[in-house]
Amino acid sequence: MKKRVLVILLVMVYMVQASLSVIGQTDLFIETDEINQVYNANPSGNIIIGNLQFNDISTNHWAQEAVSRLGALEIIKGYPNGSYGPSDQVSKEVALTMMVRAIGMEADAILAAETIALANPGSDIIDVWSRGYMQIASNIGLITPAELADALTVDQVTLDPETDFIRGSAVTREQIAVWLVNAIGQIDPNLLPPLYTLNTIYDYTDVSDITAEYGPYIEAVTAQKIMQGNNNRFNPKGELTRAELAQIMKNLDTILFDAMGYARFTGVVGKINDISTNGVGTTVSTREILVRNQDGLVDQFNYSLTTNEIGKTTILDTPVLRGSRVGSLKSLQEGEEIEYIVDPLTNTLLYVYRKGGTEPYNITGQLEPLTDLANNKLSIMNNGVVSTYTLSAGLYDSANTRIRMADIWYKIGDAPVDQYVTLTLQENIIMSIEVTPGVVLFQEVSGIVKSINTTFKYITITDWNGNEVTKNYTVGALTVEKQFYYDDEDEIGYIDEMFPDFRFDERDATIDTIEVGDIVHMRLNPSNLTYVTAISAKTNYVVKYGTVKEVNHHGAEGSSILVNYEDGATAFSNVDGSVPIKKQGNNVNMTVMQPGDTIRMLVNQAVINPGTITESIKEIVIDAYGNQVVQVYRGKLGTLNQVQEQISLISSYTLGKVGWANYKQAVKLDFGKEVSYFYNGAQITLSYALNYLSNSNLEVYVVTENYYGSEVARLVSIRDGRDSVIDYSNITYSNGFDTINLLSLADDISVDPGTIVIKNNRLVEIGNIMSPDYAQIILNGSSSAAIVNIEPEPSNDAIDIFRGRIATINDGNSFKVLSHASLMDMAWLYSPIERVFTIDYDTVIIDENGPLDLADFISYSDISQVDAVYTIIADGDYASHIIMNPYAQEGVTGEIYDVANGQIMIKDVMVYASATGLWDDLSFTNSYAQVNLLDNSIIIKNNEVISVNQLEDGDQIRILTTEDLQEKLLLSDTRDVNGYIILVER
Amino acid sequence: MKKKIVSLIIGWVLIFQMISFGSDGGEMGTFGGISEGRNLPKTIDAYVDSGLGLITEFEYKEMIYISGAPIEFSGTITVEIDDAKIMDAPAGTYEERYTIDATSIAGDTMSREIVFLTSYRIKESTFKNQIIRVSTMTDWSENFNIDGVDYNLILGQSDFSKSSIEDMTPGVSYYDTVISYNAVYSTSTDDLINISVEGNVYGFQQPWAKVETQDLTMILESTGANEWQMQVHIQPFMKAKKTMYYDETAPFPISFGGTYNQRLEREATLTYEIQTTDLVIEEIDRSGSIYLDINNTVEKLPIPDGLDFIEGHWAEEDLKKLYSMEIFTEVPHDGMQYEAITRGSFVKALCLAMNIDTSDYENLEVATAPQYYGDVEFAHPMYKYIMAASDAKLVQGVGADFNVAKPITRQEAFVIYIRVIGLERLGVSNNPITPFVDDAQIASWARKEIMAGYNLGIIKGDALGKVLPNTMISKTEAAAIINRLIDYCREEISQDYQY
Repeated sequence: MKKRVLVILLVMVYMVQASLSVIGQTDLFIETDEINQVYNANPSGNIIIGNLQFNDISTNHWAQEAVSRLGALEIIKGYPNGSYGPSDQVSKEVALTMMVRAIGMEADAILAAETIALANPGSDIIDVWSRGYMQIASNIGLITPAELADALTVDQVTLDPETDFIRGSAVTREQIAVWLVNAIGQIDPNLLPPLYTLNTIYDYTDVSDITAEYGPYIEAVTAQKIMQGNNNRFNPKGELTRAELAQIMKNLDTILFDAMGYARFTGVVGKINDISTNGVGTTVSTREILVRNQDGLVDQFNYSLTTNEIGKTTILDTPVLRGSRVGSLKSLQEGEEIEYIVDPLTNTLLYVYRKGGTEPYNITGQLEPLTDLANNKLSIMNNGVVSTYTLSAGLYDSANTRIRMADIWYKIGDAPVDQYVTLTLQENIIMSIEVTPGVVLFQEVSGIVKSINTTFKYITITDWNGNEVTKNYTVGALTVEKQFYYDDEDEIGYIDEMFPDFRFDERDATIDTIEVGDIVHMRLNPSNLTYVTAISAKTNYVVKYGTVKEVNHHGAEGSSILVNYEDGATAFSNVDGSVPIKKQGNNVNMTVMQPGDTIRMLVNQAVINPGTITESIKEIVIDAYGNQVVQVYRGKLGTLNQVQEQISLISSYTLGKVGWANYKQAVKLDFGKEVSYFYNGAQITLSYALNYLSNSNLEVYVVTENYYGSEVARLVSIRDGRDSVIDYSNITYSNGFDTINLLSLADDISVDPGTIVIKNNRLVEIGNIMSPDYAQIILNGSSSAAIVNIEPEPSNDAIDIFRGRIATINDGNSFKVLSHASLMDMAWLYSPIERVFTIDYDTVIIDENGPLDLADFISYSDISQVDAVYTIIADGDYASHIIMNPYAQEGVTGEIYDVANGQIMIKDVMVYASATGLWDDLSFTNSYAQVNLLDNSIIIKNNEVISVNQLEDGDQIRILTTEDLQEKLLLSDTRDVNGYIILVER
Repeated sequence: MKKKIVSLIIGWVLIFQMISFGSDGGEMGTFGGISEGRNLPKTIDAYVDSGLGLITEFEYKEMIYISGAPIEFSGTITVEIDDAKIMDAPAGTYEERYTIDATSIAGDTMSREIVFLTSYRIKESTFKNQIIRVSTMTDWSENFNIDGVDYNLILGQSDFSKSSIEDMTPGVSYYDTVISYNAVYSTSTDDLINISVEGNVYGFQQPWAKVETQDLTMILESTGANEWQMQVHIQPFMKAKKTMYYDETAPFPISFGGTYNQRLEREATLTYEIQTTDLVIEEIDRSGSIYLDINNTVEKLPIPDGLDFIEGHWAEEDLKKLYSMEIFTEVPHDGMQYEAITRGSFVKALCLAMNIDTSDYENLEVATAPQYYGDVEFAHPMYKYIMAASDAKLVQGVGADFNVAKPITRQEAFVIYIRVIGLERLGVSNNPITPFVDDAQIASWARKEIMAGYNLGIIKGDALGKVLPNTMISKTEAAAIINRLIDYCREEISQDYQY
């Protein structure tokens, strides 16, 4: 009996929510992740692709995928004329054939067909194409031996349609169910076992139509939704079409794949690489397709086309159902979401179904603890729903101890659990993770101040993203805090509103302190975002080094300095009067900074526009040791030792007050950081000097600078003229670059870049020679200056020397003298007037026994100083030195030629006799004398008290003593006097 | 043969680790003295272990103020720091022992020994490491004999605290140690002298130079028969650097025109300033400095051969130097002077220039070798350099390809340049406006580094004030850039440490 029942199969379409945002994103790690498995395309794939181009499966046929899939797996085949016949009824023989193929027994069937043909020579059985499949179907118990006999009957007309097995007759749906279950059971009885507890079939209204013993089989296929029926009817006795059968086979899904020994995966095509390898006569073109699979791992498909020596080509290809047509593996594109079936035994790729181009999309949720990183899983919670996704392998490390979010690797314990993260998903695989910032409490903008207008009250900054932001402020409604460069950074850290505190806060500031270039954070007024309510700022400075070339003072407005930077560039900078200047850790006056000083500057630098910057100096530190001339040497160039970086001079002298002195056969000098070489005024290289000037008869002048108590060469100037010394005199004229004139010399003197100009012990530029500088000049040749050595003109006029008798002492602050005498030339001029001198801890107090503590300079107790007579060195009313020494009325002058062991040897001695008030030569034959230094001796040079080792040979000194040396020499033939007050006069 | 290679590589790694990483200095001791310090490694040390071992005894000088006046002592310091294995464990302890013996010209003597147990931990950031150390004094003895007076440290009343942090950036390791101690001495004249010192030790180490500078303030108080107080500001400084100079061959018929000699220089200086009132030291004696001049050692570098075609070219010196230092390894060929340098070659040259440790990526199995970039697979000759550079955060990269064969642009080169010395923080913000006229062309990821380079005075615009961020770089320009970096590392980077 034949019942026609119309069956409609439902096709489920899964749709992804369209509200998710779509971003363009490729798989970042696809190439760097390890390849999980390589699958080669199918050697017969090329033929299968050809077979699957059915002319009667329209491009949007509902069963197209099922047909293509089963075709690719070689379970179904089309008719020889290139059609599939989707609407054709399925006959029993076709159904059984498919079952046999599905359980992988096609080869057995072909063998059986041959066996049958051989056993029946000449029989028409050869025309029964399904004979082998029928045999196998019987072998595995799908049909009985009687049914097999019917099936193999050549002439089917002889059979009874009611009782016999007509192979060409339509198969019923319930029959299919039974065969399916039994066929699969052949492979593994557990895959699709008959279910003897009947549930689902009772949902069908036509359950009574089901043949009773088929119940468990139909229960099995309906429970698994392999066959479903329509309108609550299973229609067990209905027939089905070839398209429907294909769909049923497809619905078996993993059961089918397990039965066939295949595996099915899903994934996203991440990257396609083409590689061509050329050998002798053979060419292999390979396309590697990297796929991110459902487990986050990377699988690789290989398509290849090999052309061998004789031109034969071999193609490995796999059918791909892409869009509406079956094509080659080469048709896959990056970013496509696919389902693919492989044969894991041979690692062959059998079929690829492109499910549609999947766009990556973002979802956001709170990160859950990373408890399942070992399985490459990450969970987020959104509105209480926890969703778990698989991670791309590149997002976690192989030891599963770290996870990568944005560009940061987090250890598992450090991951921002509970924070909002945005996952970029493609095919439910996490491609990247971004951490969403936390809850925003304030509106703040941060950046670097670009301009500030205090008249119209707005501030413009360049924010961290490089955008220009302008905000207004009202002075009354703005609090400003600023971190100045001199405050320690840890002063930042408490917020005033949170911890109100009214003690001194060095960060409290006003808008006026905000400078262009500062780093600022501005909090916006919540009700009007164009206004700022609070600013926190910090000075942003850079460090620069240079050598001062010129200093121009502008009084209270500060000064401008010309600085020569390390790279040779020079620039003027204004130094505000309030800029602190430091030297050796002390704050000093601007005037301390001299041309030639090396300085380190803190500079506030701001970029106004690309190409325009402003700079303001915030602090200057003068290097106390930098560029301090120690000596000037003259000699012949010996060698330049490059390994030890030394220069040696032969027959050398050093420059002293009296000219060249201190002869040595050879000296060795270390190079400084930078040494420059000049020859006759032009700069030359070291190699030139080495090759052409060493061991010649030229004069070599070397300036050395102080380097931590040692000296190093700074400038080497070589000249070929004859050397002559001109004694100290005043400069009368300088044009600033090549000519100077000296008071003591009529002719002009030329200077050049090789001229060594020393001013205040610093090596300086020619431009710093000015009238009326007091200079010693070394000429080389008739009128070229080799050295211009400028020193302060000796004078002790700024300080006064008194003697006074102490009347009262205000401990540690001041003392009063009853009367006093002031030293004028050699005479002490008496004045009966009381006078008060201030003192402090810097005042040096010396009595006969040496230094006296300020605390002991008191007017009471047994050490009372009242009535004691002291010599007072005073600058105005301030006493810098208070020395108890005798009333020295006698005098001696002379030029120092040796200083040693607390004695000064002088020559050309003149003696002052207080009695006559006249100066006289000590001797006309041998006029030298010895000055003894005592604990209470005092030496004064250039208005300052100096120590004995600051005296130089050649210094002209005046000594105040108690003895008339001339008389002493006559009487006792001794020529030493005690020096109490020693004044350096020249 | 295979064995030989392996041991050579292990040796290299050992030497490398001892010198470049995991050290917070200490070769000058912690008492305000100066020593010559250990020399930088010679180039040949990477190939041959001389077997001489590490030198631990150094020439030493210190100013001693304990008698109330500064007296210069000279002698030796022995520094034994058992930290060779510090990088093997994330935390641990080791012993530090400093032994000083010195005398003054007048025949005064001093001897001092201090032992610390130092605990350390390595804090691993994503791409760099910090090492935090805390030292506990476990033993300390000191005695002086100055002008016939004996001074002995009273251990029970003295204590010493020291802690340091080391920041290991891709090419340079910087450190800062804080020191605070209090020492009490008894004297044979029955005085009690208390010396307390507080200050910092800053320094860095990299392949071309190392520097250590201390900034210490010492307060001395004498109680008893002789009462006086004194405060001294002490700044010891030590520097070792490698420089090079050309050594032209004198004979005409010789197979090479000249070679570069590498000079290993060292120096140490100390300045002090005494602030005192009670004790009258003449003003001129209240500040002073001492200098330890150490002879340079010299080493010949390989002949930069095959470069005849560059003779007289603008970049002759730069290119010859880089070949001599074996930082450029491409086979020299005419035409390379105007070829663009690739990203891979530039990174490799920087790895070699800054001695970036590539040992993690040597001797790996193909199957298990990690791979960051699609186009830099294990077999790629640049593999170990680009992987190591990536680990060191020199090059960034998440992404399919490193574009190893693509020519590098100026901005890419500058970014790498600044990162290698770890000073990108001086660029202040992530996206500053730079002072260059063509600022708009600078990519956002390069701005911070380019600004830092400008602030450091390394990156300067051309005559028109342009930085030309997207221009490619020729191999000779790359040589000049890398040579400039090395020069910066030799000298300028240390400048601010000497103030």
